[in-house]
Amino acid sequence: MKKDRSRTNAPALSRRSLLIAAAGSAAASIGVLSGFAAGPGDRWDEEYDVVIVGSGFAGTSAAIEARKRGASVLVIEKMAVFGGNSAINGGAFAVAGSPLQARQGIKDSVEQMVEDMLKAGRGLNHVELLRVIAEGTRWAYEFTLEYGVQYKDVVLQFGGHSIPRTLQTTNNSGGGITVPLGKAARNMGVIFRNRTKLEQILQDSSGAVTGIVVREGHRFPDEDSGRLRRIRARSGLVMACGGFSSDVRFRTRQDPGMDNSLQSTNHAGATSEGLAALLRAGATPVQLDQIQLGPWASPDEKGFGMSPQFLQQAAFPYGIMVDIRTGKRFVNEMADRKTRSDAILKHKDEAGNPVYPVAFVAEEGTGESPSLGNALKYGVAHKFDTIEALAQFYGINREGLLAQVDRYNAFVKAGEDREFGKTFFKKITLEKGPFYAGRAWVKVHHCMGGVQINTKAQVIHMATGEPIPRLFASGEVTGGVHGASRLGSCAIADCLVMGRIAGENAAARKA
Amino acid sequence: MRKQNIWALLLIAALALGFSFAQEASQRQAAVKEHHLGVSQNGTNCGICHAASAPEIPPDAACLKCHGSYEKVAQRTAAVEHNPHDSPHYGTTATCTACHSEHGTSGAICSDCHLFKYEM
Repeated sequence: MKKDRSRTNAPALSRRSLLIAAAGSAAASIGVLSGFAAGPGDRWDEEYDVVIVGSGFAGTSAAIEARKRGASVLVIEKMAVFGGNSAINGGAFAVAGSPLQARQGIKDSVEQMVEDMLKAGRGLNHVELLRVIAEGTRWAYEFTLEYGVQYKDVVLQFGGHSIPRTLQTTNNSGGGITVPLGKAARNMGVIFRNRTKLEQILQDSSGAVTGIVVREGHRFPDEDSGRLRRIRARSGLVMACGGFSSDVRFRTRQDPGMDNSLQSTNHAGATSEGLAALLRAGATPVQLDQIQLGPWASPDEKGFGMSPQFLQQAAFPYGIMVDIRTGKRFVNEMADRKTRSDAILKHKDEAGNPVYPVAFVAEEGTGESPSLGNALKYGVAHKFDTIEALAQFYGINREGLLAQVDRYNAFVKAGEDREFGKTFFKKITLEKGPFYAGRAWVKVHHCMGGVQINTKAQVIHMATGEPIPRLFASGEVTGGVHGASRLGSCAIADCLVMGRIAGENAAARKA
Repeated sequence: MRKQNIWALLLIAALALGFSFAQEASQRQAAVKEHHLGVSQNGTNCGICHAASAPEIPPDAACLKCHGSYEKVAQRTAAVEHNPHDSPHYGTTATCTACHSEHGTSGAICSDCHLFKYEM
């Protein structure tokens, strides 16, 4: 093994890294700032062409693309299980111009997807990245098919999208993608190592990335657990380490409203130390305070749970959501997530406690919801024969609700929502029971902000504006693509497309 | 000369200390689950699961030595509602020790989001 002379932080970069870390409020979450005095020596314990941090959609796609190009590839995952948030979401993937859309006569285009995402993003989006992602969705879709991912034969309508373009895995989970992709990557020879946490990104005196320090045998959440080891990344390092929605301390600094009164849909490991390592390496932070609240979560269960696939795929598109105090609707149930979440969050009493809105739908509108059965079984949703019974159970203003239902039914029949402008993709009224209802609240769901990358997934240095050599990032740890509000099912699109690009480019310098 | 002697003495002391630790480790008895009492010789045979000298979390291969394969484990719990060994999120590949703790309290990671109940 060749002895490497690279040091943890080159002198020329260290001051800059420090400033950047401080600017990103990330310094304290690392603890060690100057060098790695107590760490392992200068020798590499292991060497790979490409090292990938994170085993979700982005990391696994990057691994496959890098391996296809002949690179030796290591994927590290700090948690016990692989897949991160990618394994525990609803498996909804927006594809512009999919064969399923064509079969159902839905006209779509890359331009239209970009336009929808820009509108929700309120102009904060980095358009060049957005375009690459929208263009790449069709190919990312084919890529997943190649490795055995299966989708339902239906195109879903998600909030903020102007047309149905969302595909969903047959098992209704992102695991329907991460598991087959992970299996394929392993079969190709990619090494996956769990309980291995990134400690630091190593750079040579020019700032180029040389490898990483990890803690192997890490026991989350014990930060100091695990043996320190140095792993060389000869060709490239891909940071695909996700967002920080579960990191209450860090997210509250970015947005004080994101305190621990709010739950998160994310797994416990969705924390900020990967982002902090990137900032220390010189990366440019982008829009870190743009943190998304999911408007379809339930206060009656933890985490992501069953509610999103009931509200998002039944009650919101084909029913209504009301304020229990008035029985009235208060937002277009199919608006983008920010519009809905902001509206939901206003429902608090004088003491500041949530007054949970209730959303419901007639049985006719439940056909696309895969989770209703379990939602009913575990008390997240309830079934009622009449609107009156529903009103009584949730303590909804009865007269207000009955009048609202009459108005809504008239709008559906007329084909125009004169209250909130919701598009009726199917004519489903609230006339005939039984009805299914659940309480709605917001949960911290996605970090739109992150580090800046270019269209090659290269991480851009904050001071020079140039790519940091051999450093790539993709997925939720990157920022700017989704602006102020990511549209549902566009994260899988982002992660798969940019993950593939990162893997391809990270392998370019392989020996 | 004298310096060298001190170093030699220190070395011997360190070796002796190390030896006594090793001996102590071999005599140590860990609390194990009832169904593992037999295979672990009442919790004295650490090596049956821990290949490393340090007490590290064993890899799944250590569990599968006796339990067969992920698929076999999944089949065994096929009748359990929401089969934790064949889930939409991890397929049959969930890391054993993510939920099962031999020397501590086990807990299904499913419970982070779901209200499922399992006997472990």
